[in-house]
Amino acid sequence: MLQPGLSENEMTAVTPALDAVASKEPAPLRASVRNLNFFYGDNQALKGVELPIVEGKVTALIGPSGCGKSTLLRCFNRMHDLYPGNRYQGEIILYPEGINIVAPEVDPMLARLRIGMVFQKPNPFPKSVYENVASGLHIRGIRNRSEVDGRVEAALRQAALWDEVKDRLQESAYGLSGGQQQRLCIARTLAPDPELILLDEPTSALDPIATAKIEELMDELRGAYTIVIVTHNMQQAARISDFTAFMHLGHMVEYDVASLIFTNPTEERTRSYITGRFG
Amino acid sequence: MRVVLFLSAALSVLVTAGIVYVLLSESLKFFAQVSIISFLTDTQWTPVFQDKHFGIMTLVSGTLVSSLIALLVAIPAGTVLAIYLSEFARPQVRETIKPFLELIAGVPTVAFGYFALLFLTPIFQIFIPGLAGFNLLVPGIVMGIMILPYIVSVSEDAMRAVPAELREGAYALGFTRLQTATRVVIPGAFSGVTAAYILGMSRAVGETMVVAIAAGQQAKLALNPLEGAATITSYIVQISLGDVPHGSIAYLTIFAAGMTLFLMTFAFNILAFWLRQKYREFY
Repeated sequence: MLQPGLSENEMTAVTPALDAVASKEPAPLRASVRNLNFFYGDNQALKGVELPIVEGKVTALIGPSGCGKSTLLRCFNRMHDLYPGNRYQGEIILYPEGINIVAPEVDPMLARLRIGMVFQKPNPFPKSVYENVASGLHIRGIRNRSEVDGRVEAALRQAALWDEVKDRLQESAYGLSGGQQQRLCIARTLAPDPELILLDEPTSALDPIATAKIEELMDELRGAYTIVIVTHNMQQAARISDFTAFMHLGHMVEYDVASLIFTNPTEERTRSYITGRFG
Repeated sequence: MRVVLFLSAALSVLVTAGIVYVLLSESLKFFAQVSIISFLTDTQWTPVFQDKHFGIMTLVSGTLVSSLIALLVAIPAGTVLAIYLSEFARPQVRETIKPFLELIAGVPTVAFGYFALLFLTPIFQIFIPGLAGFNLLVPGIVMGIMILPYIVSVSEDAMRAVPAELREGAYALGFTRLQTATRVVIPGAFSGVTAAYILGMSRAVGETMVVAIAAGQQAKLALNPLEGAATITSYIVQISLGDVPHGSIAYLTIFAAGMTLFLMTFAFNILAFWLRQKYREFY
């Protein structure tokens, strides 16, 4: 799955983990990060990152603040292109076609039309609940009323929000609670049927009950969608992820099946972090 | 120190109260002699003639026609410019354009008045044969240019106040820059942008020099913008500069007209305030 010849010590942990997965079942990849460097101006934030994203699974990125996990996540849909001075080097291959979505000749819009993202703070648009979910369909040229209605309802159901909002679809999204707003943002992301969903600390602004609902929701989306989630919360990563990647100072320190990372990490730095000795 | 601060705050309230008091008391003297009904329904305004008529709607129509022309210029241009500055322009471009806009705002209005009368009107007359030397069209357009910086700066502030997370959400969903601007930023800045329009309207209504110079002094129902007509403000200038005796009915019309103007701008400001409250977005 991964390219041979990854000699940096950060990478040694990655390959056996993948082999372990591959030996149990063939794990088709949705995407694969290969030797990715990322620069904020002169400041290198990602250093030779390698990461497989397994189809239909939840991959969690953990690590202390500033380790580069959000930076890595935002490379997938080229969010860094919105701000001047940022530069990618390396590859994020999106399967099945195998296009490198961080290549300069690839339009960032292409990545964003295929890859959805949910942010840290709920960010519904200043529009109705319905319009929020329909907007991603509208800009993709899907205008047929009954099709849009159907997909809006399906997305809201998938986001476990339909029963709460079905009578107030035309009301402003700002009337919803924070947790409902975040599920609305998830529905908005699901409606165009993305090939990959990025979640950037989606529960950090929510209370424990709303957080539990979102985690439950992610569990239900597993299988149907491929999810990459950045989280500060190690218990959350342990609860919901199939694979976990630990990052530190822009390096990918360790990647493995989640249960192994949390019970028996190979790297000393991973062990220190998950036992709470730093970070 | 607190006393000094309190007094300076109180001063501004007192000045406003004083203006309202003078307007009200002098207007009341006027309305003791002229009924409100004929003030509002008469179609002639001839306070200094033998046959006196006091139909304020003549002046109001001149004011509204010239202000609406100003808005027709300033709203489309101002909105597009604000979107460009807030969403598209690179910082260097923005920092170059903004001082130019502020420069427009700093030009004395009397210069704009003569610009309208002596420069623009003759040019427009080449293309519009029926255009009178004094007309409402050209001063309206010039007022539109005058309030443009104001509309741009207030609506651009409102657009830039739309949080970056909303824009990122739109881009992440695959919106283009233009779609982000029209579908997310403008709805997000709706209250601020409409407030900018209404405050621009209230400025145009109160603008004096341009219309006093370039729109003529003839008080009549102004339905044709190609002809000149007096506005409330230009009428007040005209009477104030003349030699009407203090306390006469012609003198009192200044206050009745001023009161009307005050109520109009006051209504616009209340409307802007109300829209701001009603449509304010809680991001």
